Amino acid sequence: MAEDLDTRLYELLSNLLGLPADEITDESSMKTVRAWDSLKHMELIFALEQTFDLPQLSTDEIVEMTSVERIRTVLREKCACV
Amino acid sequence: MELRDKLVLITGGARGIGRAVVEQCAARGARPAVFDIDADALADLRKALTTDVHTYTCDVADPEQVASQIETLTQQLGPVHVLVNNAGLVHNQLLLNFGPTGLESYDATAWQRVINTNLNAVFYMTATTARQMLATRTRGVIVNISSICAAGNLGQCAYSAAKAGVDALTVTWAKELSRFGIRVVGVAPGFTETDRALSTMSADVIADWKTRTPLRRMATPAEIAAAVTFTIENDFFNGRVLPIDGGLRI
Repeated sequence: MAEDLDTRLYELLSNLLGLPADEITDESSMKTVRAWDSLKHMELIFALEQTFDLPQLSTDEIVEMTSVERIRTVLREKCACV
Repeated sequence: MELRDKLVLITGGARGIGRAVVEQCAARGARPAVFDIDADALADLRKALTTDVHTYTCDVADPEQVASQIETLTQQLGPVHVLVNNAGLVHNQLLLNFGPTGLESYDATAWQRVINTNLNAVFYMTATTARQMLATRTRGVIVNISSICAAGNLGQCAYSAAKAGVDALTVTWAKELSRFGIRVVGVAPGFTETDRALSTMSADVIADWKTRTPLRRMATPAEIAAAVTFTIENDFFNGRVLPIDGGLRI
């Protein structure tokens, strides 16, 4: 299940940020990926909620989820698919 | 977007085009809410309508009032689905005038007032409402009432500049907000038979504009409101300003 979550997450990030999936790592973040600006970040949040059927993410969570590692942590806490 | 049961917030909705929008939205089963600076006109609106309308006295050119009243409204009625930025005012004056004391310039206080009400208020209202739409994951529509004067109308430099700014905001915000399910559109009326227009233009000026309009008449507020409801209901209309001007070009 965790592998499936990673695959779906990387696919979503790849499509949204316009990056090959194999270039995305846990360290990828708003600081390291040029296309990941604040507008794209909100788009990512909306896409995560829809793709993983999450309850609405809080402002604090949205502010924290600025790296792939942090996004995965939140997904594992909140996603019923894990 | 189907209007039935949607919360539609209309600024300057107590009279004129705004009031016609209120009436047509209510007729489609929407829940209209109105911000207007004129408390008496709001009372008249409540008496005149046969359907419920929620009214709030608000000077939309004051960002603090806007923030406070939107907070009150959303607590009472829930998230706004449609915002119609309609409130506005006109000041007729040339940039340079020959007055009793010689050459006079356009009144700077009037310039500020016109820009505040027609342009800055659109920013205050939209920034606050769009933020609330995003926070509640509400898909919505922002409708900005522009004007044929956005092309530049002699004697209305502040109003023309403000409406040209509104057109630019419509395009820009559509690019920024559409990805979140929020469409941003504009409607640009030509000369319309509102109390304001009829009271600020002389009979000769009105006759002249009618002559220059290919349809030889002014629009009714209901015709402009019909364009507004079209832009709300057509989900592929976005980032554009719809002219409703009888074919007149300034």
